[in-house]
Amino acid sequence: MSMVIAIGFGSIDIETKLVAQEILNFLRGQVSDSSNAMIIFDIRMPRILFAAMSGAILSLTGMLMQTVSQNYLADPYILGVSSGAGMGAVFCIVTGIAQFFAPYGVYVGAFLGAALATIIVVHIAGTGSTIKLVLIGMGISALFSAFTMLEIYGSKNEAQVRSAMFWLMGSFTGIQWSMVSIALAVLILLMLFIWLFRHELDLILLGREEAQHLGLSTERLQQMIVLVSSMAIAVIVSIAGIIGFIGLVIPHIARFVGESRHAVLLWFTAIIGALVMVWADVIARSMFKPEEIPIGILTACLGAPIFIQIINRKYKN
Amino acid sequence: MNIIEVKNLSYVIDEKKILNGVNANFTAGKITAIIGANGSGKSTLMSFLSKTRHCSESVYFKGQDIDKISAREYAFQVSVLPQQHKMTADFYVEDVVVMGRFPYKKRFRDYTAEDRRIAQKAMASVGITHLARRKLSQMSGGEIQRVLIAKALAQEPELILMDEPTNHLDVKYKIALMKTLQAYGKTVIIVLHDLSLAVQYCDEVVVMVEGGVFAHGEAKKIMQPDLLEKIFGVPFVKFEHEGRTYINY
Repeated sequence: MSMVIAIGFGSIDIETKLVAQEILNFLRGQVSDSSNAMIIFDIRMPRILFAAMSGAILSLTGMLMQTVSQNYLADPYILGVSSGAGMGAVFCIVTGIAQFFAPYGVYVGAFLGAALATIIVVHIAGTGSTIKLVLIGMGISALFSAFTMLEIYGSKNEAQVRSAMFWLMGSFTGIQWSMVSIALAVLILLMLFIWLFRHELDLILLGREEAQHLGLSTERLQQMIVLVSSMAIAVIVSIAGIIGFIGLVIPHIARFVGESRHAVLLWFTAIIGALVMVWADVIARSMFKPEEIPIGILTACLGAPIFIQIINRKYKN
Repeated sequence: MNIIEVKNLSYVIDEKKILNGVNANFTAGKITAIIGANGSGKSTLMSFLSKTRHCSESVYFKGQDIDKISAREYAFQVSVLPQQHKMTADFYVEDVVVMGRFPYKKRFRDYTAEDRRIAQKAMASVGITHLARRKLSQMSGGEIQRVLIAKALAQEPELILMDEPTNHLDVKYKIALMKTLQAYGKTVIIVLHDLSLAVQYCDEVVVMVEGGVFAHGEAKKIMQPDLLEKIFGVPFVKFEHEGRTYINY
């Protein structure tokens, strides 16, 4: 429902009724060649579906990171994982490695960057204090962003620079159906992983030692989480660039309206993440139309104050 | 029969001997208190017994080197209540207690009705049945402690290891806890600061001094004022009142 209404918004507005009509026609097998139909099926629909899925994926990854670090300020953006993925992706584009491994070069670069950042953060910060983890994450993030800028600065090719800049801001422009199917596959795998390990993830929240006393091998689970979340983040970053704060804020809202057990939290996080991202994208598309704001800038504008508010509340005394 | 045997266990950090050749046998079916001044190595010894710290060929559980027992296998038989809990999530009480059944749970499956029944029983035994649908964030330190004790009991272990479990509990629940442990009827090794509790409810006592075992034996025999004065450096009195033994300083 939300998605149908969201399709209507954009540089050209289409009434919800017309959108519903076109979709019904399509479902009946009547293919229309109107401009509305083209906008809906070739541009808006893949974009909105991708936005919904990436919202769910980013939120679930944030949830996983918050669980594994037992730290509610963790998120792929704050811990530098997204920056790592961004650097990896840009490195592959600028050096031309991406073409060598085409069409997966950018994904592989993003994955390696994301995994590198996660491993560094987890190793240096461990599960020590909340603030230590966040500060080290920010350090890593700054470092990888600087590398990304350096790569861009060093590049002579203007097209490469434009395409690399895109990773720093995040955008859903030009999403195609093929990307939607990749995101769907990632989302299904991610949700399946969380569902299978729902009780183990709950146990980690009792504290690492406590979980080990109940016979859980926390180290192995931690390694799996690093692998799975790096893969998920790599896919989203390689397609849409760095979109911050969604992974931080959504699990908080989900815990507030739902509960802490992962079997329940999983669904709340995915659904709220998807809804928030679809509507954030609507705002990004329609606020200054026909111009569009990169989605990463918008989520940062909305998410950063909430992040500050969470810290402020937690460390009031 | 000894359920746990500690053989010549030493542990050194920064050239400081925390444990200095500890030898101790813990009898199955008995409640054994570990007492001693701060820094005498009680908690460190517990961390080896609970496999939180690793050692090889020093601690044996039912005759087997605990280093060779997997964490999961150990969790079937031993439950551990740490000194401080590090819970970050706001779970419902019943959901935390049922996690004590994790070692028994089939992989990828949910907890069974039987698991939930055992968890209910454990909650009843520490008097928190009425708190089952309460969230942890709405509870006091003492209540959370009781939730964790219920979780440890839900694990249905042969051996319960508790490091200062009475920390957050008021007198009524301290006594209730000791009675619950007695009624449970399995082996308990418990670090205690409250010497009256130790002498009243524990069968045996291990007295630790400077990382070693200073005395080990029947609680009522060992815990005499002159020995306690030597360990803690203050005079003690021991008296009987209505058939109970009390130790005070």
